[in-house]
Amino acid sequence: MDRIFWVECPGCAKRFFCDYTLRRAGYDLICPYCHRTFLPDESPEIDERWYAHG
Amino acid sequence: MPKDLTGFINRICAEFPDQVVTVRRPIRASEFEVTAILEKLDQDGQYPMALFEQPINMLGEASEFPIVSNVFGTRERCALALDMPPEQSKLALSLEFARRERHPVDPQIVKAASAPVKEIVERGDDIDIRRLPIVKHYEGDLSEVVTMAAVMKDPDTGIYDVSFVKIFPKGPRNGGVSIHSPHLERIIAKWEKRGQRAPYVEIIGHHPGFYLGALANVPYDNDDYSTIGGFLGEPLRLVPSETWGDEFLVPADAEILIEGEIPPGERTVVDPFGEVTRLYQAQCLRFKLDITAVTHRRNGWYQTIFSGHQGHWNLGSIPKEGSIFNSLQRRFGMIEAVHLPYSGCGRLACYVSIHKFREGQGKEVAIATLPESRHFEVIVVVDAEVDVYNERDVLWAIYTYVDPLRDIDLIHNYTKSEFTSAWGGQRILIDATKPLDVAFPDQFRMPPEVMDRINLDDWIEWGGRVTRDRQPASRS
Repeated sequence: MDRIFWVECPGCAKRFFCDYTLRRAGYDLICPYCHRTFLPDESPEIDERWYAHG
Repeated sequence: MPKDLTGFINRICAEFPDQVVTVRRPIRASEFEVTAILEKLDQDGQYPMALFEQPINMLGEASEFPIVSNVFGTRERCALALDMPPEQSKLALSLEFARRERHPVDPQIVKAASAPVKEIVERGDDIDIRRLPIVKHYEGDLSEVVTMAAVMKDPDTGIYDVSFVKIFPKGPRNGGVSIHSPHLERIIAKWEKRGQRAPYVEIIGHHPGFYLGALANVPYDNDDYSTIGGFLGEPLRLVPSETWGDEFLVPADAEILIEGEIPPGERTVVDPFGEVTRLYQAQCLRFKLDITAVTHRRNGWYQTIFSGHQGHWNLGSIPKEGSIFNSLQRRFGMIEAVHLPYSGCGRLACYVSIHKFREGQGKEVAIATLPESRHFEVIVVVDAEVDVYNERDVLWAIYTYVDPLRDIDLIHNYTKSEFTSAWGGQRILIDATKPLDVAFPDQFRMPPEVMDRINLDDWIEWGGRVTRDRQPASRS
């Protein structure tokens, strides 16, 4: 499985996860619950922990 | 009559009515009602073909297209799709699948007037794919998702490749296309290298033999339309597309076709979507799709796959089992059966049973099985007496015959798993065959001649009727 990161939608506060290639790709994420678009860094909380072995 | 989905549904309804459920009341495909019903059936251990007569489409309108799902929900129905008796749904079905891979039938080109899928043709502003009753599967999905197969054409060789693909609708004439097929990715890369838009056609609804044929293990330069003909047992009828005419042929007997083009270099955000491993797939960038035409039968069936469930898993297991069996049998000559179980989503685990006669053969077969699919994470080898289609039996063999110190091998630094699961580049091989090099107990059994003699129906009746004078002893 490829690396992922979790974000929290700044609109509805629901969480979803994204492929790590989107972390700094400059694309807006789309919240699957309220369809608000936002950049990853606009997320109030990001969980990007990953396995130590890569 | 050429084979099509309508004919198959009519056959199942007529000959196997106990394998069909019908929802006659209006149902909101965008609000999880279709998948909730399928999930309830699944939780009840039932996998009938499900017909939804009055779906509400993405625009909130009554759709003209009824929905059919769970066509592949049982191996027995997959056997029927290949004109086999349902009782031959285990290894016999898998071997027949492998046989048909090697017997293609050339397609036949017909005129639009005799193509049911050309009954209605929509172009330009007439197109709105949201009129289709596209199903939203799971609460965390980005949107409704089209789950059937697409056909693309190699710009150099002209061969057609058909593979399962997802479309995320992005408006009336746009979508995002999520492709996991190495063959289709290779075709798109060629079009992108040319800087040209890649023709793409989504095929929503066809005879199940069509989709099984699309899953055949064939090399890249194979023409899938011919392979599919082998699975249908007759030439696949093709007709010129609306967008590219004779340059791109499409299945004439499909229910619904979405024609479009993938612009080079452009990407769009798709996913999450509840995928085959029952986990969501991460949001990611995939190809854009500009839709150029929609053609369909009047009131054509909108077919969908209930992802992460039995039908989806059968589409992974059945196409692989036969070719793996043949490959291992050529090498070892003592293979009893091969099965990719539901617990491994029909992709991740492989059970192989063997007629072992020398210690070490279990491990030898496990090692040989691993490279048969890049998706395998666990290989389990059992004795021929263990039914690989019965997961309780396989787990019993693991729990009784396996010495973890010598019978389980962890392979490190293998290819990273493509599916959404915790597995990285590790694999596990388990030899769960009975040890032959130590004094080991036998599995108990009744004498076979007694088992052969006892016919249960001759001996028992169900119910608690007491016919003797003496009452059962009281427990108090």
